[in-house]
Amino acid sequence: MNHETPSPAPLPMLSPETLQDGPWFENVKRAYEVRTKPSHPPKWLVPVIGFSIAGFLWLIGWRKTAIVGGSIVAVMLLLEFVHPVTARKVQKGLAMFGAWVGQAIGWLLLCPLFLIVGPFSRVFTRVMGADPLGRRMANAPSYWHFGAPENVRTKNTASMFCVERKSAGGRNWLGALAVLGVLGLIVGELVLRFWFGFHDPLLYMQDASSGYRMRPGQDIRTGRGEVHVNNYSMRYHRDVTAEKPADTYRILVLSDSTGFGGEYHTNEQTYCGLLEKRLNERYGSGKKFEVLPACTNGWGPQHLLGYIWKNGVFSADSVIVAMSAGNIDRPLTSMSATRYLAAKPSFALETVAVMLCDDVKRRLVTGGRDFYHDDAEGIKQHEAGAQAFLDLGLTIREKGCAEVFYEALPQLCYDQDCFLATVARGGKFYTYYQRVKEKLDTADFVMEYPQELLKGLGTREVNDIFAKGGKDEGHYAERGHSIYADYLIGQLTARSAAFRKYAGLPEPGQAHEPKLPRPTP
Amino acid sequence: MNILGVSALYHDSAAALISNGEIVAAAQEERFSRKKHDERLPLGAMTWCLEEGGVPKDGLDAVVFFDKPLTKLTRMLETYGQVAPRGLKSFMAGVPIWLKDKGWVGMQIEKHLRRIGYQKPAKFYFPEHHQSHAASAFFPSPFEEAAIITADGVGEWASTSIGKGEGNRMELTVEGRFPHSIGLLYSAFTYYTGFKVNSGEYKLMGLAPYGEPVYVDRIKEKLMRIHEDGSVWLDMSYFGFLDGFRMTNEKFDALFGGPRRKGESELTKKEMDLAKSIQVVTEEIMLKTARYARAITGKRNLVMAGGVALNCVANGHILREGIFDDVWIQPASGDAGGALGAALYVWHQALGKPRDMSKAKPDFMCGSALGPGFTNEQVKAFVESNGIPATFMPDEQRNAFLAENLANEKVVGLLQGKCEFGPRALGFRSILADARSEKMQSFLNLATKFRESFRPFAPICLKEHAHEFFEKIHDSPYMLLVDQVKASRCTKGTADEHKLGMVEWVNRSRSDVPAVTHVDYSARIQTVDRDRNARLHDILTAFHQRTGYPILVNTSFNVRSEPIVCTPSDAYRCFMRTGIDILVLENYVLTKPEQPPWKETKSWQEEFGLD
Repeated sequence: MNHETPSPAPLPMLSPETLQDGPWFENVKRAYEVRTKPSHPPKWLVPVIGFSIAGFLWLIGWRKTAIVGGSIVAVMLLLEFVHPVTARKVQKGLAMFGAWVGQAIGWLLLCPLFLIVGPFSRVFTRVMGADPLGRRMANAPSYWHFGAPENVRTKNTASMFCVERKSAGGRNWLGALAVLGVLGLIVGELVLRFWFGFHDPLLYMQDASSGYRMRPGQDIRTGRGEVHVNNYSMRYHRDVTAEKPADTYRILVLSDSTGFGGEYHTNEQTYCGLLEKRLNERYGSGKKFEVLPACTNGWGPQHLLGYIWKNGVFSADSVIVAMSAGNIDRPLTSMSATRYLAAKPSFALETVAVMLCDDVKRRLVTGGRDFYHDDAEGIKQHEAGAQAFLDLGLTIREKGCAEVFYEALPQLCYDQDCFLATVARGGKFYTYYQRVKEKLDTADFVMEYPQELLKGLGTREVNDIFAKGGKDEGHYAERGHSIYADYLIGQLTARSAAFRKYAGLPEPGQAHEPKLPRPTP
Repeated sequence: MNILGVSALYHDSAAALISNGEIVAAAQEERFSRKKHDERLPLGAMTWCLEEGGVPKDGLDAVVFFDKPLTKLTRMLETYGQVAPRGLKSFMAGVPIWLKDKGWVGMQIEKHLRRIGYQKPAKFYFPEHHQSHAASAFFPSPFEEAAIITADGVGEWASTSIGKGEGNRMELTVEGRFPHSIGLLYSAFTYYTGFKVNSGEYKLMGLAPYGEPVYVDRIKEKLMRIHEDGSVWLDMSYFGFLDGFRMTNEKFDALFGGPRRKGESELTKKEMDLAKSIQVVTEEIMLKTARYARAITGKRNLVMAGGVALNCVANGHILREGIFDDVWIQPASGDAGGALGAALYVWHQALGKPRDMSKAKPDFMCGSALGPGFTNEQVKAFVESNGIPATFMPDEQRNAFLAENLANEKVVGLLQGKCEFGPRALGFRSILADARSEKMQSFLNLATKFRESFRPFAPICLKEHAHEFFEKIHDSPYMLLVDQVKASRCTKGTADEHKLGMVEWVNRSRSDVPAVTHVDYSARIQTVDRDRNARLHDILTAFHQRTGYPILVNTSFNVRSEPIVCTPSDAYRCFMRTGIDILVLENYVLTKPEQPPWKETKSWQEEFGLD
């Protein structure tokens, strides 16, 4: 018999994929699952964040962006319920896009940091005499460094920073200061130039009549505002003629820095600009209004008087003299009220330097006599100013304009009821206006106080009205100009027959009550 | 008290656990993740160490990270500040990673610990990088007192440090500072000769014997200055690592006559000569440093750590010079060892705990077998679940079987005991072969390791017989010392040998143990003693009894670019993919002919890439 040993059954094929692991490392495998598992945020998180961002955008006025963003989130949410697989793919795509955006932002933020700080650091270190990479120590007697004491290092074991042994040798502090100084100048120049616009200041020139005036034909753009000066040194968008155009109601406003409005506004944002715009909007059908602002920083009544002497009243139908208390006593010869710059500087720093020198000069030479002081010299200046105020009105009448309205500008005093408080308390502004009023009474000129204008407003509202968040007593923020423009419309309506006639407004009752528009909170 | 040391984020992440000062467990992350030189946070190693140490969930007292990340960041930023506006791309590549990951390492470790159920440890520590290296060198060493040298690319600022250790205290006195670093210089040449930085340095070391030191003068005159005290200064105008992604630049290329070698292209005489030259320079620096360390510390023993301490040729030179009576080098000298050193630093230096020298057997490293081990039961479960034929053999039978097969030029893959901690295989995860075989070197390189043919193999030898084979060094337990093979065993080569092609040259027989004798008659020795590896000692003894040779080829159990195997499944995969004839998994023996068919569904070599 033929006995054949049966051949053993063939062993099943093995491969790396089918090879089973043994009973080990279960916890390690679980630890790795966390690393390999893609992380997904909780389902509710993305819509909550998305809608919150959309809501925020809506609140800050980016409405179109908010709608787009909110729509995307809504679509994603819907897709999550309807077709989760597609939703995941879209999320992955958005995540990749987000990562790309994040990387781009990283580049945008880090690149300038590297390219600006890096080279400066290099120069600074060199000037300091430091050599952190030891590149200049080829000729040193040894290249070993001593470490910090071991006990100090041991105590510092819990810190993520090393204890560095202080390196021997001095540092070139003078050089370092010089480099820092240069850097400071460069940074200062850039900030003053591009943020504050000091490289392009408003220029002035001497004038025999008005003491000084703005150089005509300037077009200034500061960081936040624009100033255009016309041929008659007015802050006005175009040149004007001495004779008004036909069929035009011309209002001449004589004022100081308050009427000028600050270089942080545009021409159109000042109360004169707004007055012209609103008059044309309200009454402009078939009619044309011009409001010419003869307003310059630091002018007092003597400057205005000289200006009118020289240029006349520009055939104005009404003249508004809007003066703030602080400028009444400014003598014609004093340019201390403004920073005089006759020529354009090369650097913004130069402008600031000139201004600072001017300030120092003012304080040292003129004694800083800007405002009324209760001494003989001060009273004399103030009385001269008050007289000039009167002469101004008389000159305007002589030059052919019968309607002269004196307006005392609202200024931030000790509380919100500024004029009322001023009058009640008898502060310095009260004295100013009393003196002026006495003079004006002699020629039947009437000065009006906007007593009710700011009454009852809260601190936040008042801070909105005055410049620098309420810290500037005499100048207005954008809202302040707007409120005062409306107030002047009311005054014109109340006080000017010629205006009422031109505008087609009915005559008021006998009582001379100005209708004061209440500022909208 | 349980202290977990962690190293991560650069290369060779690892974790190590010490419990009341005793090293309980240490492992490199690459062994778990199977990604060579894995730099990520060692989640696997940390989890395993804590489990191996039986640390209760509320019982982790401290975590120690092996360096100070924020000082590294400031060093990086300060460097960019010195080279800007150059270096923008490098800055943009590096800084976001720092801001996102590396600067938050403490939080990341804490997060992982929480995830695996551990309460936040009471303290986090951050010793300096070189303090971690120094601690890994001194505290596990068998010396009560010793001089300490640590040298690597760079830590925070220090690239080389010299100090001393006494009892349970160590003190680093002087340091060389970035960028003037012997480690970076060596890496620059590694890069220029076409090898990968942080993994190709030992290839450059292995290439050196093929070359002539013709560039030494050029290196010393142009690239650097070396003082008699061993300190170095590099002329940074030749190097590209300050502001770019390259180690060298065009000026370096011009100095050495052309651009760098492209990786995997043919090695020419130029690369061999460069390898030799930089090796000569490195040895000169290390010798001078050692002499300086002796002078300033007055200690008779030396301990070393840091990546440069893996240059075993230089180490052997230091020992043979007799500057110190004895030299001990941390087997995990690279950044992986920093995890262990960091933990030991906190225990002894920060907390002031004593060293119990009576527990040194003969040192505290336990033969560097600190990683995962597997029982016969686990192996049995593995082979049975996969239907793998395997034969259980008790130790004596197994050793005799291995000795017979090794003597017949079979290649054996060995997995026994705990995994080694460090880059060298020390007989726990090793490939063994007959050192007497003339063809074994090329066979192992080409058919088993699939690596460059010029690379030599290292011997393991019974310690008590080492003096029969090597000139001076007779105790080298961690394969970190190179010595000359005894002249009496060598066969003289021809004068024009160096003109031969590299492959032909390397295949020439130079001694009666040709597989482990390099072209310059040197060998990177591992002496085996019973204290550290009794079972390997037994295998060698069996081979010795059979053949009269107590020496075998020992190479790491992996293929090129693969981490050393850790588990039986890793070992089996490597076994089936290569020319290994026999696989030993503890007491289970597997022979190739008996194995089931093996199918690779994708190219596994591409999986590992090239190192």
